[in-house]
Formats: sequence, structure tokens, C-alpha cells
Amino acid sequence: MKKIKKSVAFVATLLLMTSGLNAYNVYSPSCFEWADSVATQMGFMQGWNYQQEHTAFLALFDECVALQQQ
Amino acid sequence: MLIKNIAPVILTLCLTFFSYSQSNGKAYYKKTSSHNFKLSKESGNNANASKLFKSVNNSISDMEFILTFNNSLASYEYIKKLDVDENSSTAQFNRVFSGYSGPYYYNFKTNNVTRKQGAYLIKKQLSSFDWVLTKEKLIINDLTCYKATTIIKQQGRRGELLKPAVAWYTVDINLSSGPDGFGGLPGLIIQLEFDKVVTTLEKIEFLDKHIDIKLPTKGKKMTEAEFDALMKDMVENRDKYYDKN
Repeated sequence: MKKIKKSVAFVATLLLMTSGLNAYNVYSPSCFEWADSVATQMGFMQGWNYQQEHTAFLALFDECVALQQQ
Repeated sequence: MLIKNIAPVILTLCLTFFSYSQSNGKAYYKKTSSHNFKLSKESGNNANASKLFKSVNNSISDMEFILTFNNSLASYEYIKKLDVDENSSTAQFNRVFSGYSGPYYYNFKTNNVTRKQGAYLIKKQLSSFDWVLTKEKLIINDLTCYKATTIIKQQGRRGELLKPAVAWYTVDINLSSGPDGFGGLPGLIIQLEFDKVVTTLEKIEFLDKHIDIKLPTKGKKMTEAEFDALMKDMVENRDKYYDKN
């Protein structure tokens, strides 16, 4: 129950920020860790602002989930 | 004698008409970008991530933006394409890296610009751009443009980021706005160079009828600093928003 609650909060926050993410896969810890790691490293290396890094994280996360589902 | 007396009146009428005809219209912008993203060795070999980063420049070149204006307001929006899933994270990634985080709404009476970001309305004073005006000139699309520069402060992993911006504006079009929320100059921005992206006016059309522009009213109002703080928390504390177990 706690897991679902947190996941819903995660999606709700993303929706607030980015207005329109549908069918978000919230049960992909490996994708979360990978996207988090890549976005963090690239954010620093490339001198991204927080919003750029945030959208990069979301896009990387989705790409990873799509790959897992193939 | 009569002509001498009437001439100033005719001139005033002409200027009024010209000024009115310039106050309503639509300007279209396109972009080119030179982003060069390379995945670090530690991130592993992920073909899809490479594809995402490689396609960003082409995707940005395909985007088109419209600035709609009347004598007191303007809006700047991305023109949606039917063949693009605009809600996808990839589309949002491309838009953000194009420099667009809008739509943007200019209010020339109060001299500010508001951007609508999801559920938030983030307001900024146009005077806060703190432009340095120069005498350097460039002809762009047959318009004589003057160079203005400023430094945009942003927040990121490296702390405060100081990103230079160059705007080429024309005093021939009396509109203190431009692309991506930039404005506050003595004329319309014809070309903007910022964060590896060049945004250029493609065409402009003036209309002799009033264009109705509505400012957004729904959304949580916040300052740029408050929004930056929110983004920082979301980025640096991602774990807070996600349960990995």
C-alpha cells in the first residue's frame, strides 16, 4: 500500500511538472537507478540547469522502460 | 499655406495608422541547435539513450513557434505537430533543450512575462534581463538589427550557471518581446543565441484587426527563484518521490 502511495505521489509530481505523462511505469527500480545515474552525471558534465536534467531523467527513464517491455 | 497646415495632420494620421497596423500580428520563429551530448562510459551502452541524444538537434530544427501580439499583450507558443506525441517525455526533452519552457505571456503594460509550466505560473519582470545594448549591426531577413547581450543566471549541479545570451533586435518593429520569454529591448528580437540554440524570425505578418490574447489565470503563482528551488529538490532528491523497494 505504501509502495503504491509513493508511486502515485511520484507520478502526480511528474504530471504537475511536465503536464501530461501518460501510462507511466512506476515499477522499474533498475530504470530509475540507471536514468538517475546518467542524468546526474550528464547534468554535471554538460552544465545543465535543473529543469534540463529533470526532463533528461524522465526521457531516459521512459526509454529504459520501453526497452524492458520489448 | 493650406498644404503647410495640413501636412503635419496627414503625417500624424499616417503614423497613427502605421503604428496601429504594427500593433497586431503574428511572428513565426524556427531554431537550430548545436547540442552535443555524449554518454559517459559509466552509463553503459544503451542504444535508445544514444538515439534520444542524437535526435535532439534534428527535432529542434523541425519545431516552429508563434508569437501573437496586440498593443498590450503577446503570447509565444510552440506550434504542435500532428505526427509528434507532444506529451511524450522525449518531446518534452526536445522542447526544454530547444530553450522553450512555455507557453509565455507578455504584458507590456506591467512590463512582465509569465510562463506556464505545468500547474505553475512563473512571472518575471522584463527589466530584469539587464541588457547591455551595443552599436553592432547585422541585417537579418532584410531588417537592420542591433546586438544586445546579457547573462542569464540558472541553477544546476554545478551551482550557479552563468549563460551568455545574445539578442539581435530591430527598432523598426516596436514590440518589446521575442522568443522563449526573452524581451525588454527597444524592439522585437529577430534572432536569439542562447544555450547552444539559435532562434530566428522566419516571417511576420501584421493584421489590421485586433487580436484577442488571454492571459492564463489558473495555476499556482511563483517566482523564478521559487520554481528553481522546487526543481532543485526534485532533481537532487529523486528518491523522495520514488519507492525502489
